Amino acid sequence: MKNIIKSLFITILIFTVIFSTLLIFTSCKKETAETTVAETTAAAETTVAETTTATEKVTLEFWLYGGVEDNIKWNKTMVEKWNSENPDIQVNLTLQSWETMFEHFQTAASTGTMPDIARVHGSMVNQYGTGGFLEPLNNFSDYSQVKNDYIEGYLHTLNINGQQYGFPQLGLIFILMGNKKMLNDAGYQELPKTWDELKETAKKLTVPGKQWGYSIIGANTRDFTYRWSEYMFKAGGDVLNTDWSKSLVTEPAWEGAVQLFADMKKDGSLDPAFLATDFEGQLNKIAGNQVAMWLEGGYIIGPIAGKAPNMELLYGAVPAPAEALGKSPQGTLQDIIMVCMSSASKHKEAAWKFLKWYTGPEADKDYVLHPELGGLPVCKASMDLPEWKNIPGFEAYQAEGGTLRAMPAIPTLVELIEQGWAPSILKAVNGDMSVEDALKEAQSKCDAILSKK
Amino acid sequence: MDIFKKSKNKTDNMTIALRFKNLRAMSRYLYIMPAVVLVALIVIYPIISNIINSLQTDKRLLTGGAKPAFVGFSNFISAWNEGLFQVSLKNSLLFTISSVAIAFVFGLIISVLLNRVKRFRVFYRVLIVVPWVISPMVAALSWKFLFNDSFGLINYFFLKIGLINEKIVWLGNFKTAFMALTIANIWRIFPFITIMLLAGLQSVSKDIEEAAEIDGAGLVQKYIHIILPQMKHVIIIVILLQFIWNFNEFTVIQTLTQGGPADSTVVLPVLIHKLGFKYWRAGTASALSLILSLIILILSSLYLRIVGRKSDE
Repeated sequence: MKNIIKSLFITILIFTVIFSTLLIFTSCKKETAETTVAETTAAAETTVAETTTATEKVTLEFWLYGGVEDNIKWNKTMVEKWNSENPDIQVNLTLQSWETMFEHFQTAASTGTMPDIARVHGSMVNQYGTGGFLEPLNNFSDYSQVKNDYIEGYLHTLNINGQQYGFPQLGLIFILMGNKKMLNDAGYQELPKTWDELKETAKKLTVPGKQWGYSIIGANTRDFTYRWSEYMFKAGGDVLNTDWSKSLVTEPAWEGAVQLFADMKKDGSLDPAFLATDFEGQLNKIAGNQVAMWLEGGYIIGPIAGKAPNMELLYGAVPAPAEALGKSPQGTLQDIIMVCMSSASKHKEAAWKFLKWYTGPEADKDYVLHPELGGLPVCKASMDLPEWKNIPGFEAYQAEGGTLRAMPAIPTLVELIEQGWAPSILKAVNGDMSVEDALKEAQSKCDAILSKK
Repeated sequence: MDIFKKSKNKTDNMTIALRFKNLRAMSRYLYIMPAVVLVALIVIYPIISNIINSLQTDKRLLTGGAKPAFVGFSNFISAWNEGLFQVSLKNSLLFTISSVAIAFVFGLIISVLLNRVKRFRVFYRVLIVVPWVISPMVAALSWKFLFNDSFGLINYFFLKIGLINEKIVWLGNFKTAFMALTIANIWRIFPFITIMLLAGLQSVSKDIEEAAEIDGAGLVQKYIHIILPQMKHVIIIVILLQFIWNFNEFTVIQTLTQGGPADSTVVLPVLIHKLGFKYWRAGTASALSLILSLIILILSSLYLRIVGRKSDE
């Protein structure tokens, strides 16, 4: 009997300790969550109250995700410049990996450890904005004036339900690039303009087992989508219907763009290793004269020059089919790198001052003066600079500039891309599935994702 | 302070001694309390948190901080109906079974050879352990380079010896990607199997071996009928442990293929990672984690029963 009582006592003691510890943790977490919600709500309903006086010295945490070497260097210089000019608002820059951006930023968001400011991919505005983790910049009193500095298209992409969750830092437009020597040697002075020309040129530039006419990143479904979908948009296709309730995967523009790549794979002009090729692999193949043409953003120019200093490139607009296949206007995907503010930031006014300077006309002009950085200006004032015309591929960007299209701003976009259509399209391109079957499979997956509440 | 008073009779002395004994017995539980609290924080709390997550709204992170609602077992149904669930379960089983089976055969052969080696015994054993002590991430990245279609050593070597006519895209082909993953994993896990089996081999009595030899048993017969049956417990434990660890494998697959090409090598841990971190479906990801934990738990209890039975013997 005594032993039973003793065991009972010990068990109760242990459980009490465990559960009281758990309780402390749970209540701490709850408190943090409530504070975040309260802050978000308060911020949405009222004008942001300044919590930091002008004389108080604050340090802002700034996470910079990804970026090629030159880009990181430029960002560091800009932060140093800000810190020297603003002794009261110091910025602590931390470089973060682009590869683990999703996991890292989400963990920070759900544990309440987000930095004051972060530079991330523009598509993240969907999940983080809807989730209440980002501060709507339109809450700041001078927003209506500041917004006029930026090109409307970029701002619009980062606006969800009337809330501006970020400012663009650099615009990304994918254009066709080619190895000038390879093309010239084959008798081409410029890049192909139509799908038929692309297929023909790629075929002619292919030397089996040695070099391929065209290459695309296929190891990462998201990277593949952002490069392949250009052709779908160029064919007049779209991702979702107007109210974003239904996927348009089986539309003719999709079929045409998948068929284009399937044909190039079949005739051997598409790099047979595309499914194992990531950004670094693509770069190595370009620098190693293994591929003649590819679609990329301007940020790749610096790394190519680093690996193959003597390589000359040709630039061109994304090839289009001879006739539009879809009902939507023929366009090009507009991709953005944005700078956003955490809704849990304790120094919102200071963060706002830094954010609008960091992405604003002054910084943007400086960016344009560095064509090796590859990104495109996001402020209207920069477009008037004569240096803007010196950006490599300027004419191609100019040709695409008026027809920019954005991915739909829905929280399930990443799932739609990675789980919905990309795996099926990759199978079709690789010849493991017919184009028709692949698109039907993708359609049913996309519908299932969209129907989930 | 009563217990320190001088007792008047023998019964009192016995009571005091008993109280001291009880106090001493109690104190040992207090000593382990810090460890219990630590385990509670790093093991029990995440488990409970995961159970709660699995019963709440799937996309609760997207609700703008609103209180997550209780949804019962709907996340488990959602996990079961998840397009990639069946594929990833099949891949997990295939990956685990093939890795463990091949690594076991390989490990057994190496352990038998190592057991017979007389010279440089320590050197060979250290050499065998190297893949096991290397960080899984480093090992996976090394294999990624080896399997590279352009400059990978595997293609270079196979081309040199004339085994292939053109470079194979190991990680970009639906058929070869899975094989490449399994090879990389076998390389990583076989040293542990080898060392465990070697220990088992060394515990087999030399007298029995000699008796078998005197009775005319050949090398193969000796191993099949005498040595391996005596190592039964070690073999079962090794296989079970490897099954548990490999069923949970994430690093090698995520580093080499990220579940690709086109989800052809996705396994349960990779799917959970995608659902939780990329698609923000915390509910379904938690439910899937619990399903995975349940499978591991069944295997672990099997392992513990075998270990318990062995120690009883």
